[in-house]
Amino acid sequence: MSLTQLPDSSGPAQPDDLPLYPPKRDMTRPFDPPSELLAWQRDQPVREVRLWDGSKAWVITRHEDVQSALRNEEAFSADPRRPGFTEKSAAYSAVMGTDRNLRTMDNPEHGQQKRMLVRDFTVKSIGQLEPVIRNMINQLLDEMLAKGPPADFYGDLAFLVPTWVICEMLGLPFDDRHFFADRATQCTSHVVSFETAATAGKELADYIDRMLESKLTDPKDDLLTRLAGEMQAGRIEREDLVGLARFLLIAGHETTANTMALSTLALLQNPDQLQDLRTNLDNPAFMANAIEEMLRYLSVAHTGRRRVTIKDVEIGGVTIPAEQPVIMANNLADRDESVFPNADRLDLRRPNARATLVFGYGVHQCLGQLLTRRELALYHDILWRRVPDLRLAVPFSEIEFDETRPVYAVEALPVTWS
Amino acid sequence: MKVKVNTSLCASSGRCVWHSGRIFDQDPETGIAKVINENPPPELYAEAQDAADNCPTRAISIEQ
Repeated sequence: MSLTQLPDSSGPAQPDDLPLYPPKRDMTRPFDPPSELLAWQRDQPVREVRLWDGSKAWVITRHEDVQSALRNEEAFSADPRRPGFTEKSAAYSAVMGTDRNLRTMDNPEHGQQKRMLVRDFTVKSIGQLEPVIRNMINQLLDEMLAKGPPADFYGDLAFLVPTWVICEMLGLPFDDRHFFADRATQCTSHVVSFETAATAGKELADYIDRMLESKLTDPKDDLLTRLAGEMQAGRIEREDLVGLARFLLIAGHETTANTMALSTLALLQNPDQLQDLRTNLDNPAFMANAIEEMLRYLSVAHTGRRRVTIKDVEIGGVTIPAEQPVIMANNLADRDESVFPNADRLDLRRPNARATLVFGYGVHQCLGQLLTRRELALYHDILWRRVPDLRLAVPFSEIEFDETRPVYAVEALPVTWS
Repeated sequence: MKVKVNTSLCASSGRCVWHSGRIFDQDPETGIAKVINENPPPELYAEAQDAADNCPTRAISIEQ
């Protein structure tokens, strides 16, 4: 199997004894985090590392510490303008890190902006979307089944579902999906240059700005129109609105799409779990837990949450001084053996799967988490009813994974059925 | 059991409503949680506890 991997960074002269973060995955265990990270979790759960640009940062890997840190607004800030903050990559420095939005703001501004968005992400709103998402999944499956095997489950299904949903929500043309998926990858990838990311980010921003303009002259019942109204009421600047919409677009598809594809793959690799799922599709409590476990096991947002300390703070028995960049490795937390025994096993009946930190924790916990859960539940419900004998069309060893983006990805998922 | 939400801590995640729509609801505009069943019956204790355990800002308190 192949694994698109992070290059060895050689940056400016730095202490030689600090390991590079994040280390590469073991190609023979593509679902598992690198074994070094698990070793740190055991022996040095709060430690310094070297980053892509040669700078240093702190990494926190234990579940208890990650959770506590993500909840601690007094000591940790999400604002990249604060001294000591370090970005994930050149791309983040060029694009996402320059935004002023709920991801990059602390309270109270974070809460103010979140409240502009939250009505589309409530349990009730998501409930209203459910029949529409069902239809979408069924339609895509109809098309795939009609064309006949084999198919690329990533490109033909997993990518399309959340992308379509976010297009519907924002009010963007679904036809433009390849354009913005391509630019989204370029402005978040860990292996593109600052310039490439900046160009892609600008193209996306210009695109959104054009869409915004059309909402101003021809308002619709969508989130971009509503945000345009907030702008006209003076509650958000145009530039920030564009950055926010761009962030929602990026955040709204890649994470869910890869979780859908990778969970399908993980189930195919764990036939006993798949069998359990197939026989319990009508059991809502089972399904809810199964989805949590898939989220935990995959924890695709695998490069950690970024913060900076704004005062000295003690965590995991270590004192991190103020103005230090800190990475909360929530994907590692999801494999913490002290919380999840046999953490490297996919166990759909795991009793505390809900303790997953895949969506983060604290005030910044993912805005789209309930929507994501619903999309995943509908996807698996429909998929295994309609294509119960789905299987890989290639050997597992030929599946290509990509760890160079902030979301762990699969390039394609060739599948077949009878 | 008495269930309370500290709305100044609430980050509008909606997790509580997700775990127990019979005890919690969200303001439709701000997403802030509210308790709609302050003294739930025993059959709802488990979901009340789930909601409290999974609140990302620990805004829910449960008194037995």
